[in-house]
Amino acid sequence: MTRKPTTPHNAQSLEDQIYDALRVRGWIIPQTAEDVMCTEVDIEHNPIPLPPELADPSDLIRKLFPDARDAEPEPSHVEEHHGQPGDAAAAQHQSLLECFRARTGWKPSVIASTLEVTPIFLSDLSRYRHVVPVPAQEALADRAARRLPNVQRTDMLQIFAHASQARVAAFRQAPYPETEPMTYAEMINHSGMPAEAQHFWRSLAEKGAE
Amino acid sequence: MEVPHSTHDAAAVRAASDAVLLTLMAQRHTDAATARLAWEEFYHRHCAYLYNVACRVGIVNASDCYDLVHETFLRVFEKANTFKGDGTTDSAQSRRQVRAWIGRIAHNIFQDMLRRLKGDRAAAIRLQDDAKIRPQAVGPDDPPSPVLQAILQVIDSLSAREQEIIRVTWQYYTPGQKQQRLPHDVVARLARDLNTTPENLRKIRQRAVRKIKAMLLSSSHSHLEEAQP
Repeated sequence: MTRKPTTPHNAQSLEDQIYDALRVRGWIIPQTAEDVMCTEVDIEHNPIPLPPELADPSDLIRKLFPDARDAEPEPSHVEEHHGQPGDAAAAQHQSLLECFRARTGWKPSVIASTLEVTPIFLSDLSRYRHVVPVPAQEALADRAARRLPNVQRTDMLQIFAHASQARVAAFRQAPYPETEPMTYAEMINHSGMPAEAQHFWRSLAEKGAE
Repeated sequence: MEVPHSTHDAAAVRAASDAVLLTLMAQRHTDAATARLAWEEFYHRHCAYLYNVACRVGIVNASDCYDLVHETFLRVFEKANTFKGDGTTDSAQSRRQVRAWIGRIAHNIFQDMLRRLKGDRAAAIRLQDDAKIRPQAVGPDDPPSPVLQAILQVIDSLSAREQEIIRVTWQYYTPGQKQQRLPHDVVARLARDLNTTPENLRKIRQRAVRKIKAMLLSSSHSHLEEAQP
């Protein structure tokens, strides 16, 4: 593997020392395995949550595979085929977040803030909507209908209902395996929401289990 | 290494190593569907890491940060055939090698962004002073050496303009090489954005480096004095 010369340890010039200092500060992108290790440790201690804009690579997939849409399922994490015309049917093909964005024209961070959730939780709800318990679906649909313009409660519930039908993962010719990448509880745990909010969303799952 | 053959092996693709995913991407002309699946898996494995790196490197404007991440992953797909790991079986080491390779791609794109973006957007890319995401360590348990800490202190004490010049200059620096020069177009762009001349830019940079040098000398003298009986 061709490697950029790593930081020399002996007889460093002043310029090399400045380079090292900037690298330690994070101002130079890590380009060696050693530097990556240090950065990974730092990220582990001080992570910045991935914003919804990056959590869903659908736009990039469309750029990379512009001709594939006709032949492949919709490039999103969880998509389904549906033949109904109209907005409601269109909404079913969208992820929750796509639907919210299309209806409001707002940024995901603004939508999340309006719904009193974190962007990462909203992204996960959108991505793993099939594991969201019914009471939590209803709470989110109620909140969205009350606070977001042009959003109907029924549309939201249809999106959730559609997700619970036979699911086919993006670009896959078989359903997801039984082991899902994330559970509802995990979603809450890494949401970054305040304890009170986490308790609220967790209690909805317990309500659903009763 | 066992390479899954098609999208029928979706589960195998999801479980494949990074090196295998890159191999599948490189075979996109013969099996686009599997290449697409491999790319998506690769994206989800490394996106959060690259986003964190992009935040730390000093990009203020969120959309520029997303652009860096997006462009990097697009180029990863194009250049997948150029990755050459050392065949290590250590998964952590293998992941770091891949991320180092991603880092070199991202670094090149970041340099392009510094050239391409104008005015405030360029300044926003070049300068961020957010202590919340400032890395504090060089290794799992190692604080920066006293020399590095001292250099960072001096850098922090520089004016915004000096810091910006230092940061841009060292984006183009390769450790261990002598007689390095900042590309002419980068000098011209930076000078224009800072409303100064290329000549003055060099003087500001020299002055900033002199400050760092003086601090290091003074620091080493005080160490010597402390060592005196």
